[in-house]
Amino acid sequence: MRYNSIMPDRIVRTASPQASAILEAVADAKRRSLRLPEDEEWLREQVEEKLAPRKLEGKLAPLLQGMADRKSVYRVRRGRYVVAPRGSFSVKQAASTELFVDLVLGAQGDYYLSYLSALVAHRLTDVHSTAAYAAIRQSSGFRDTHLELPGVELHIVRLSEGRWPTEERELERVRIFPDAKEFVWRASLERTLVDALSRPQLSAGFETVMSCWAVASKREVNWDLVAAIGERAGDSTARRTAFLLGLLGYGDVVERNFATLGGRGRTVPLDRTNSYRLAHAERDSRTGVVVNVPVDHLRGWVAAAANG
Amino acid sequence: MINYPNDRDLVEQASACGIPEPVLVRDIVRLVEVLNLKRKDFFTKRSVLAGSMALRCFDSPRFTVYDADFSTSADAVHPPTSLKGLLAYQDDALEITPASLVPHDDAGTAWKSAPIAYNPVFTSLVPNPADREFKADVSFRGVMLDGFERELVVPYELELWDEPPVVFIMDPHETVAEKTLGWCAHQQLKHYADLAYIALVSRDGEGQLIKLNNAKLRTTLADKLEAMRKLQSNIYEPFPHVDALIDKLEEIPIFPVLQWQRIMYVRQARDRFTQEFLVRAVRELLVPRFR
Repeated sequence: MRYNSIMPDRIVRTASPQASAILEAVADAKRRSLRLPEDEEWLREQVEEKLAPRKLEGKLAPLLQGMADRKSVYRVRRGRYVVAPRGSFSVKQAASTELFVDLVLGAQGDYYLSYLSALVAHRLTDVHSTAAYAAIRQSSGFRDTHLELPGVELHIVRLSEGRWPTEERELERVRIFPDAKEFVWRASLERTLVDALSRPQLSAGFETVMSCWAVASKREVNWDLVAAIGERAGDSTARRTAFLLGLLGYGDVVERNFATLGGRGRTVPLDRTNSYRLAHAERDSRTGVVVNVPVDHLRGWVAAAANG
Repeated sequence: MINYPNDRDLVEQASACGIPEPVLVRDIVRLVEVLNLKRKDFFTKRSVLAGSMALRCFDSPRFTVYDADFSTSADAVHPPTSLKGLLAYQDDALEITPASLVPHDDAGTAWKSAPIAYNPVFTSLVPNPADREFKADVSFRGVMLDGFERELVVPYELELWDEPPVVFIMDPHETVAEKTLGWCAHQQLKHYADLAYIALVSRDGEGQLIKLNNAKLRTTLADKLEAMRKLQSNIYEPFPHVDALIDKLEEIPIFPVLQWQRIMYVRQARDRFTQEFLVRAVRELLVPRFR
């Protein structure tokens, strides 16, 4: 009796010479993932070099699918695979959310992780999320707005050209694993703060956004860059940015960057999700922001951030 | 230190409890940290496990995601920075590397180590480096009431130990005081949720897990408020007297949807611990104890 029939939940992996050559090529490249068709030419060259003088017959896709069937790689989506670590039984053991996101969005044009995903990555909040949030260009041909990936639901936001990052300092290319040549695009700390303020519903709510701003105020942040990004993000976000900067004690930054911002005739809710539904809310005359969050809550969150 | 679970059991228990695997793994790592501190004689009746992890010893179904809270004094650990050596831990399956302790109040009475990085060699379920961290908050203000020993309880079935370990935890009267201040001054729902739980399990009768004395509850809250007003007068300015806290506690709180979703109960408790249930517990069971 074969071992596999006694322990059906245990995976017995076998690898053909071609499959072994593929796994070796991926390891040599210090990668954990494969992307077809992008990797087709490179991979074929690598594999044939290892199999020489034999040639690799046919396309790579069926070979990789066969490897996925034998659990030596995991299929994430069509043409997207990650190498299965020895002894693993789930794709969640093989890669992180950031690699899954890059596998899906990397070939679709510009993208970056932001909102709650970036707040967490920048250690501004300790929220654990089973959702990931990324932005793509409005002009992107990618049509999905959300996708189920292993262990995570990816939400995708389309940004107009005017709101897309324009400065290098707004995005970071981050190595996903310390020992691998695979990267993900992520919003910088400054960009993350403004993105979260502009869409608290993608950032675990206004309390999280406010707390993250307060935590950031204890860090090295380029607040003039925050102001510049906020100013470019539309009138409402600009006003919210100016209000929060003032609340956190950066009046000088507000004066430098929002000198012409007049509050008269404008009413912009601080929390665009209006999660507290207050019957009465004060309006800040300087920015036109309506403080639709209890003031004692705002004060408490800032104090909590200062305490830890 | 513990019987480390394998990945299949972790996946099964995470699913049963309805929590993400990295959260479960972090919980186990923090338990190892607690046992590490116990082995290094950190815990005494004046040096205790506090916060939500201490409430676990009373079967609290709420999962704390990131923090571990301790309360000690300069007599027990001196200087505070030396705690870094105590927090560090290593065995074949796990390595815990704390950041240096830094004060997070002006008076230097509260310190934190963040992040405490860990390498959970026992599992492959935490591939994301950001999920391999937690934080320790350590109060050096000294406890107001002596702590007492209690078995550690976990809400999952992983057979981490043969005999449940025992650690000194904060007296629940003092926990109520800390959580009340945390809710009133910082408006964090997790504190309100914990207060509701304590109110429920301190009711008289079968199933009572915590015994509370009403007079002691009020005195402890008043003393804690006075101490904190001296340390952080601006934060506690709206609460000149203990009754201002109790009035605040009696108000019906607003639960924004996204804030509420961050309160993580084990699956078995989710149907029971609704917003209405928590509000009733605090207003009808806890507040009258203070009056």
